[in-house]
Amino acid sequence: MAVWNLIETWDASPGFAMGLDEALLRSVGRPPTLRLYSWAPDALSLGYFQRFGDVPAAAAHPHVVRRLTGGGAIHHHPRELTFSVTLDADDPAYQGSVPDSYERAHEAVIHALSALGVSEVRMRRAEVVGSDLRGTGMCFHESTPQDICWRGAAGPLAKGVGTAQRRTAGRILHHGSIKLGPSPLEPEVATVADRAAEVSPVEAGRALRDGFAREFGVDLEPCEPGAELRAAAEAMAARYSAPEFVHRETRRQR
Amino acid sequence: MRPDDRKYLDSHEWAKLEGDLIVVGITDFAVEELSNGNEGDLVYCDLPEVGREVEQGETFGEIESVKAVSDLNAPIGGEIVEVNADMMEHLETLAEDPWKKGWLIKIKPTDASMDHLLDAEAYEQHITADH
Repeated sequence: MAVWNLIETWDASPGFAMGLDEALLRSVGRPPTLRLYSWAPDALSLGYFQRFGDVPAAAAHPHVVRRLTGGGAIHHHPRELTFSVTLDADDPAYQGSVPDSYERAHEAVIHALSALGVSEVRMRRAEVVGSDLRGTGMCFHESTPQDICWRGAAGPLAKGVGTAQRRTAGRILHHGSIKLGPSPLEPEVATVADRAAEVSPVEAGRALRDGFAREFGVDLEPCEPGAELRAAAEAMAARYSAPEFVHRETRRQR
Repeated sequence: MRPDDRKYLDSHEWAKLEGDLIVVGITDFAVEELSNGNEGDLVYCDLPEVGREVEQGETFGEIESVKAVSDLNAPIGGEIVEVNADMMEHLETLAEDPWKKGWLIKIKPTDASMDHLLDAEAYEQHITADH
């Protein structure tokens, strides 16, 4: 059975949170790694190419970073679990097409949510969701057929998990965000608390670990980021909240 | 079979000699991977400024779809002398015609040899083996 690394970094600072994912992405040859984390302070992350001005919530938020992964903005608050998967692009777990890799990772997340008691969790496919809202620039307000959804507090099916990939130099970073409870910056979104007992990010992380182990047939071995990895992450951390990166201009239209 | 009038990188870029320039684009396979067959899934393409020097294998741009942000790698080293600026506004062209209208950059090569790249048959084997 293949062995993946499991790294838990709770209450990570926004810059370090992103720097460690980049350090893992650039660690060629490192075993596949599932990382579970939460953020302190509370932060808002922009998609790699998003324009700052296209995310109204960003102007009012004191801690904004830009992710390496694409898509929309995400509010990382205490009632949210963030995870990342980093691995070689030719690793058997993610081998094949990009949509196939989403399918398998999302099945792992669905196992976790079901274990937490959230019923009827599924990928959106052709269904209509009530969380698609225009003009916010938020990831959870725009859905694709593979997005993970369940019925939110308001009743209609809604997006409750956001994920995005970065592929570079034969490596993959797959980011994910699972909403455990609501945020005023992300109205209409489905959360675990809408359909089950609310859990902490640590408890949700345990369920996610088991979901990945089951879906990919792997053992997840807990490990600490070593001194070298931590130093690399800290060296990269400042870039993520630097004004020239956060406010950079792109011609992206949505 | 993909066009055999050009060479390929295993990261799905193609390179075609036209006069003394190398035209670079990405394959239909790369477009399909990024967009899942839905051209609307391609969101953004960031291409370099004319005049930039690139080394063989260096990242010259990035492309975003609803699935992933991926690097665009230079099949050959040299100076970027032309950029398909229309592409940044009309990504649907990539899905419609990745081999001709969907070209991305033109490079004035330092060394025009393309022996290090895959021919169409080898590229075909590469994508078949991986998928």
